[in-house]
Amino acid sequence: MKTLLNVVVKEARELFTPHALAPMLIVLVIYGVIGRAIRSEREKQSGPQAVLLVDRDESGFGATVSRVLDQSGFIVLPAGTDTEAALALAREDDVAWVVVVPEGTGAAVAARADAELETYGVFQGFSVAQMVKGAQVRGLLQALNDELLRERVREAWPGEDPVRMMRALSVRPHVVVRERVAEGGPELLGELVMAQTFLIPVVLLMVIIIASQMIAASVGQEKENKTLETLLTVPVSRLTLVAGKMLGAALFALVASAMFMAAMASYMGAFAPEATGAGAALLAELGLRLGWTSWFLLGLVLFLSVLCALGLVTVLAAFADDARSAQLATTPVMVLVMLPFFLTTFFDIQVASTAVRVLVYAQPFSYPFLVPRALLFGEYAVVWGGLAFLAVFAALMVFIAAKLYSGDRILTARLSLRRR
Amino acid sequence: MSAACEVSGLGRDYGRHRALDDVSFTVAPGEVFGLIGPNGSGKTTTLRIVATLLRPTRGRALVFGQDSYQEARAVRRLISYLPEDAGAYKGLTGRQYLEFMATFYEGEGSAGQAGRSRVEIVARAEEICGLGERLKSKVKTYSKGMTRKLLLARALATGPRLAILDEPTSGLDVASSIDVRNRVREYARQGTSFLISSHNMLEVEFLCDRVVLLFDGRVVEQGTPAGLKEKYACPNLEEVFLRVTR
Repeated sequence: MKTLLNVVVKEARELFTPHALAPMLIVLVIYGVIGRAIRSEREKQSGPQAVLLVDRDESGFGATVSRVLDQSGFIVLPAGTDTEAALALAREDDVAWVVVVPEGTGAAVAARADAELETYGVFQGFSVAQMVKGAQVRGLLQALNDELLRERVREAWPGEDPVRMMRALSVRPHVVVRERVAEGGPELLGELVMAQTFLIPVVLLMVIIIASQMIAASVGQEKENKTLETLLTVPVSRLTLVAGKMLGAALFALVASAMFMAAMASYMGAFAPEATGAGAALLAELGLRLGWTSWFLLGLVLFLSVLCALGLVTVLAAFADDARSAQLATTPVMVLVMLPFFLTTFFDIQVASTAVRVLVYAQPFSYPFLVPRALLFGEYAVVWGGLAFLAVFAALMVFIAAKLYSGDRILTARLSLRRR
Repeated sequence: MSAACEVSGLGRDYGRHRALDDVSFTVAPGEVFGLIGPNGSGKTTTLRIVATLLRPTRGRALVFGQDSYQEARAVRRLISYLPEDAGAYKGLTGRQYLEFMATFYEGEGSAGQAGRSRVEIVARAEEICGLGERLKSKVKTYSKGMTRKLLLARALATGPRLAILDEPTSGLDVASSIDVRNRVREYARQGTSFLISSHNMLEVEFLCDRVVLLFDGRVVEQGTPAGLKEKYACPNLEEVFLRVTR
């Protein structure tokens, strides 16, 4: 135990350097700043937006437009009758929309003839924020149209509720997950579940990539600097050396992933739908919240996956003869991790073809992506099967790595391969 | 008392290449034994087999009666190995490196002595390397010579019964080389056995009690430096080597 700790401490001392930590700190700060900026921008957008209203119609219809926009939460700024001057003002004051009521619009509406409003979207850039502002105004013009329709209905059927008259049918959406039924839209559910489970694969990708690179660099540098030759002659079991190296890399990966997780949580939180109010009630009603046991099982799956990656890279890096070629040893692991990441993101594995399912289920790095969903939907066969598969694979990799370090292949593998 | 190192019929192949063939020699306890030969003659392969790193294809190497391959773990308690051109962990300070290595040898008895504590091993290494305050600096700031001194100190301070040194003075200046030779002789007097390889035949002549001349993976001659010079009527070992391999 003492020698294992000695190796872990040495690995940690070599890995936790300002050189290695600085890029992660920078990512943490950058993502934090971006997340905060996006949140602040969203807050600004969710507040009342200004619209310039150019009223060239003298019938008083402009006042109706102004009232509907005002009722819908817009700040209506009268901008005279000159469209060009209003556009110049919009550019100057960063107002996103100009609504123009052309001459004769009121008369056309009254005569139930074709009537048109003109809208001008003033783009100062092509940001998402700009697009969102546009969508809001389009929605409000729809509201204006609805208001005019309601007036016509009132005129045609006095005493009737125009809203009811215009809505022959309404929909009460429900979603069914397993045996549970809850009132709510499938779009909201999809967004909420994605927000809950998307972070896990992203963080896992980061952890596996960082841990793999760390262990590959460690093995490569040991071979390049010949420190490995010295280390392999000290009176300590090879399993201790391999385990110490892996634990050191895993420790670094843990810290790195915590930093990335904090950065990503800040960044993603800026986009995620609020899981409060109706959203939270919907998830709770459907039982789609992970309990402590589920989080523990998920943590175990993530840990075993990292161990599998570390074992596999340790085995592959044993065939490298310097730090640079050892980095190449991480490539197969990257491919194995990216494949299920994309497959599970874009396909529903449950209904995928047999070939795709075999491709996913037969390799260990799929389970971190499959298990969160399986836990949510109570598919415990996938959870326990995945855990067993990962445990066997990780043990096999550690065993092979220890075997490699025990023999002389760790020093001669490349040589014997080249001469064959 | 068994020999410090007994190598018999040792051979090692890399694929179809025969790197070592039928190499035999014996190192007595407290003896400084040198392997000399040109690049590719099999010196490092021999040392690596004795140091438990390589499996011999033929023959065997015993360290104080223990087989270097079959009983590798027992042999590792008796030896320390200094590879040629080896480095230390660049992210550690010199002192941290010594502490790291000392932990593996803590309590391991050697040369008939009781096991040393980690503190004792580190203190001994500090004294041997003579790096003083520089031990607080990261190894990556060391010159090649300083790194070599650090590694040599590590190899000797752990109190091995057999020290296996591959080109021990490689990269050292004249004064440091002389210091290393004196250290080796001092430790040999105290009972440590040495198996050393070197290109520097004059150094070997001064340092070693006996030598073996390797050429193309085979032993071409062995004996004391004085005996070999007399046998071939040459003034130094370099000329003996040229005569033997011509």
